[in-house]
Formats: sequence, structure tokens, C-alpha cells
Amino acid sequence: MANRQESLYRVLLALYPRSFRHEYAEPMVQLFGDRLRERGRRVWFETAPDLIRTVPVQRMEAAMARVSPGARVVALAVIVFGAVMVSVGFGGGAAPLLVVVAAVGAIVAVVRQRRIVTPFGERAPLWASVTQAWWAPIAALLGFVMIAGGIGTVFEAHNLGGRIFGSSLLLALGGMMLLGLMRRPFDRVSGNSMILVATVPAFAFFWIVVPALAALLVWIGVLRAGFSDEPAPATAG
Amino acid sequence: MKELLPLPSATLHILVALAPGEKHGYAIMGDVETVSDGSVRMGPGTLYGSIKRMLADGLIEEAPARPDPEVDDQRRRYYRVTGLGEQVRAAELARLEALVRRAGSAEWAQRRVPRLREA
Repeated sequence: MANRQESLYRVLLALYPRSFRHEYAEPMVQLFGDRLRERGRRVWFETAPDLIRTVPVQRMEAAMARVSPGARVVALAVIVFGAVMVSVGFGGGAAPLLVVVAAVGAIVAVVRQRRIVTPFGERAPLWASVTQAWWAPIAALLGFVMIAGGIGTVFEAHNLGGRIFGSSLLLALGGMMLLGLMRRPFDRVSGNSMILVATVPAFAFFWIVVPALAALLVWIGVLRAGFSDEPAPATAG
Repeated sequence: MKELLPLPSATLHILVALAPGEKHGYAIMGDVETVSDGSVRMGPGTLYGSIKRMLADGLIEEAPARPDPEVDDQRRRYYRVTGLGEQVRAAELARLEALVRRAGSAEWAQRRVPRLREA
């Protein structure tokens, strides 16, 4: 019976991030077993709240440890922007805010990383960049759609402000997405930061489901791959 | 050291539990209960989450010695307080003592507060 409960606890430990499990799963199971022998099944009354309380904390700490300081700022900007969007009722009046937040996020990412791509920096060929990871084609598609949208906005926008702000923003973000993908095989931190910043509009207009889902997949892919200095697998072509 | 203060409750209790010497997780957990008169009970996640942060902050370290296999399970990890951990524990206890002393003083109890005007 005790073994079965220890096995159940071991299964529940899968809720913790891998790095934490790797370091502490064995002593935690041992501790649980000691406690189980001492208190019997009552141990679950203290173990269940402990799991509920500590799993999100460890998950958050592990996620923040993987993300570079520059990307943390960008993530914070996205959250703040989301809150603003909600508070203003998703109206078109929030569009200028999108420009400000995206610009601030981009500037912060550039300043913090210092190694952001320049036209003269090393970068991978476009095809190799687009095929470097499972989520890269999605990111590239978003980038191309933004560039196409930026060109279209020049002709379609109803007023001069819309043409200037809308088109330049979409062109800049689309370009940033593609340049980020091309930079990433050489420098994960700056490449990832550019890709994450470029997905902001897709999140901002989340009620347009397809680009928002695509952006979500890109974020999952980038954050799961991590920000270590180890270069992304470059498939030179 | 100041940036570590005030300590989270779990951290302070672990530092107090480790004051007599190095201990493994189960012993720490038991001593935390004892020293707090049973008012603080830590689960494994809280204990090892705190241990992880305390190791990163340099408040404790893993002791290299392993127990005699006839006395205890050799897989157990033992932890002990570092020099920094002792300083931080002393500073936090002094802070709490000062707080208790001030909160219980007659001077504080009779401290004048602005009176609210009655409607």
C-alpha cells in the first residue's frame, strides 16, 4: 500500500519542471515515504496543498530562468499591452498603443541584447532559417503576411495616419520576424527576441484566431527551445 | 546580505532547524515542526523549493559526508548552514526581536494617533 502511494506521488512529481525533478525528485519521494510511514494516509492532507502551492512557483521560476532579461521585458510589455487592450474594450482606439508598445519592446530588446542583427551581421540563408525548427515555417508565414499586409495598408488605409503607422509597423515587424529567424542560428538570444517581439500584433488582435494561434505556437516553440548561447541547428543551404 | 532580508518564513525556519548541525530533509522537516510548536508544517515541495533557493543564495550547502549505512539511508542528502547563512539568520532574528520588543512596549501602545472627528 505504501509503495503504491509513493508511486502515485512519484507520478505527481511530473508536474514539476524537469530541472527541479532531476535534482530533487528522489529526496522528495524519500521524504514523502518517511512521512507516510509516520502519519499514514493523512499525509495527503498536507501533500496535496503543498503540490498545488509549489508546482506553479517552480514552473514559473524554471520558465524565467530560461528566458533572457531582454525577452522578459518584452514579455512584460506584451502582458501590459494585453491589460490595456482589455481595459479599453478592444476598440480601434487602442491601435496607437500597439505602435508605442511594440516600438518600446523592440527598442528595449535591441538595447538590452546589443547583438541584434544588422544588415551587416552574420545570418543564415532564408530557406535554412525557415526550416530550422518545427515552428519556424509558422513564424516565417506570419512575417510574410505582415509584410504583405504592410504593403496593402499603404493603398487600403482610409487616412494618412493609418497608412504611415499601419504600413510601417507591419513592414517593420514582418522584417523583424524574418531577420530574427535568419539571425537565430548564430545568436539565439537576439534571434529569439526579434521573433517574440514580431508576434505582438498577432496576440494583440487575438480575436482574429488563426494568426493568434500561429503566434502562440511560435512562442511555445521559442520558449521550449530556450535561450542558451548554444547556436540553433543551422541548416546551411 | 541586506537584500535577503526579511527572510521568507520557510527559509528562517530551515535556518533555525539547521542551527545545531547538518541534517537531511526529513530531520529538517521534523525540527521545523518542533521549533514552531507544530504551527509550521512543510511539504516536500516547500522544503526542497526553499532548499533550492537557499543553495543558490549561498545560505546553506550540501554536506559532503554521508551517513553510516547501518545507521541511515546513504541516499539521504545532508545540508548545513554557511557563514553567510549564520549571519543572515542572526540578522533576521534580531530584526524580529526588535519588532516584538517595540510592539509590546507601553510607549508604542500609548502612541498618539490623530483622532477622527465625529460626524
